Amino acid sequence: MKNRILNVFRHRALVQALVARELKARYRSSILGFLWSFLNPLLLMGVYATVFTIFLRFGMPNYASFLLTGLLPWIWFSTSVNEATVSVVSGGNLIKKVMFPAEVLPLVCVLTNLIHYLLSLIILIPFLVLYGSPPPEKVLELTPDMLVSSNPVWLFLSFAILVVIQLIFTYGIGLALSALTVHLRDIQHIVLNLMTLWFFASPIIYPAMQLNSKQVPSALKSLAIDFNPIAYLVIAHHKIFILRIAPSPVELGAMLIGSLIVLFIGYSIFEKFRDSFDEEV
Amino acid sequence: MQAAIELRQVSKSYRRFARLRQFKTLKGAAVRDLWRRPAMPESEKFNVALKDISLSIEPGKTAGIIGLNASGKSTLLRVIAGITKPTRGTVEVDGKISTLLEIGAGFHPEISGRENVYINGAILGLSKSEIQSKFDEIVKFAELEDFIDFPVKTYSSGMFMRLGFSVAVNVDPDILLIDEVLAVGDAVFAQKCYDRIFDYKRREKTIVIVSHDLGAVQRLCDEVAWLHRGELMQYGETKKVIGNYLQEVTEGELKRYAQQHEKSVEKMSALEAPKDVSEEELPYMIGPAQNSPDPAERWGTREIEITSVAMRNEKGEERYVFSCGDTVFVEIGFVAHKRIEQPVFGVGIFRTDGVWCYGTNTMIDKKSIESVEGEGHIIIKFDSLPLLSASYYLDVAAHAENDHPYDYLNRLFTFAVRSDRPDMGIFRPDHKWILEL
Repeated sequence: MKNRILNVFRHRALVQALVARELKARYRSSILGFLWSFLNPLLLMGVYATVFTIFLRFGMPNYASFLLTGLLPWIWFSTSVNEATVSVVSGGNLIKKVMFPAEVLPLVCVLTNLIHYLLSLIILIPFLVLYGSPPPEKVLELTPDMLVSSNPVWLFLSFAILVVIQLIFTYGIGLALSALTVHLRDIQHIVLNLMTLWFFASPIIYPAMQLNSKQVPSALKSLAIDFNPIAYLVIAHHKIFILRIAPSPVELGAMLIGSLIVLFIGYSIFEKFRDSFDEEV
Repeated sequence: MQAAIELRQVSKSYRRFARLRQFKTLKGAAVRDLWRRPAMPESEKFNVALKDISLSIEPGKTAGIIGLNASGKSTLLRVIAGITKPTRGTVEVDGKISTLLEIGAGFHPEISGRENVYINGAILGLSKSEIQSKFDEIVKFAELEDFIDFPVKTYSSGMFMRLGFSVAVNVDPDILLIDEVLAVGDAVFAQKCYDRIFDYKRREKTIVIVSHDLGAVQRLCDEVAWLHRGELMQYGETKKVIGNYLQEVTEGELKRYAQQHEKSVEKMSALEAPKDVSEEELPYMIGPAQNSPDPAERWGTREIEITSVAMRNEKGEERYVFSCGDTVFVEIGFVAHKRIEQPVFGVGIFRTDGVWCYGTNTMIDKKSIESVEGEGHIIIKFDSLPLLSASYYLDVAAHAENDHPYDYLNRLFTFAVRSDRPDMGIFRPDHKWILEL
């Protein structure tokens, strides 16, 4: 395992080059080019804001801020996973013809979308300032320790750690799915639909406490909140960007350990199938 | 001395079906145990690509891998490169490897040649600064100075190949693996590629080349490995191995062409042409239209009917594979159903791509035949048939002096010429070199 991580590190020039290739190629023939990295989340947010402030109301002031805060990390996650799932299959040419570390392919997907995510934050932060945040009690059930804003340095630091956690988690899932898809192409379609379900099952378009209603069975509620890694990630984003409260070190530590376990499992699956890639892609 | 590449009892077998895809659908996988379909026998599950290959290539040597299609050449190369893991056995490689299994693997069409050079270099294991220092050389070698900032999708296929080759050979590896990609671009660029490979040789790099081009293998390689159906038949000095390989291939071909000839003979009698067509309807004779390499045709009035066609070597044995310069007899058996005055017999030789290599007849050669009636044979002897390595059609015909056709057999009989000399063109005129200083 340790050698393998070193192996990926040794290929950082390759990872860097491939991420740059993806970024450059994506908007190459469009007139606005790289601006689309900003425009896409902005327009998507416009769509969601229209839907949820006009057609479906949640009765939350400044709802768009709440939505955008959870939506952006979700887009990073879901796009990365969808792309990573097919990355090994579509990178077949490289795997068959060049001595190529296949684990780089899903990593490139995750990193490319990380860049897009970080760029979209440039939209989010001024938006939150200009548009205003929803009242904290509408976003989360408040506990006394949440009433004081965190020190900005720690806030920023905890956000950086959060990004690392999500990176590890997403890469772990991407590794497992990309390897399995090589042998069973059906997985890419299953994943696509499961991601939609996952999206609605996570507290992104609604606050977590919405599930407190009696109509929601408590088993389902705990599945959506307590056993849903995305819920932890999204809620941590809500805390940082809307409540300006850094998640506690215990919280972050637990999430980090969880994501490392996912990476380990994902890597083990990838490793198990690795030798068959060049035959199957 | 430690070998640069050392294979010990390497075997490789491929599953015919993916582990999970033995079942065509998810449902199939799920109900496997309920359905209890008989398990596939072990021997049918695998395709054996390499069988127990032990091979040691010393540093600084250039080794060729030859063999028929599907003999495991490319698999062997991929095993050496570490792309494919052998099913059994060990591979040891001493030094940095660069592979040229496919030109421009990893090129992205939307981005510029310059950016692709960096990515391709990184894929081949170079660091950014290494690529930077070699960048000008790469572009110069590819002759793409004016185009390097255009997207690769605007390149011609020749430009694409040149750039890919240029990056790969500028990686400067200890071991270079090349799979059938030597002939890139025009003749000038191909020569540059050869020069670069010779340059590697001079610098004592280890090179392994897979190629069907025996001429190139002979020029470049010190040693050759001959694979046949996954087994190493022979590994050793280039000339010897190629000689043995050619002999084996020729023997296989002898059989194949002899079988094909039998089929042609059967087909000859099956090809029925209407016997009483008016002359205006018949195509203009002498030879068939040059642009119709296929299908086999037979036409004519059959007043003289060709009944057999055979090719023989100088010993009189029936043969359909010859070496360049062999003595060849073409023997045409015929029946003249009535007395025919002044018939003309002709032969034509066409390369299978349609090039008319030679044609003559008894009239051209002023060998006039007064008359024929009943059965007979006419034989044309080529003291030396100087055709180069290729497959050929043999056309035969009997007609009247005024071109009135009796029996034409076109594109029906085939033969091959095999040559171990890599000279080029259609035929080998008798020649020698004279140096005057």
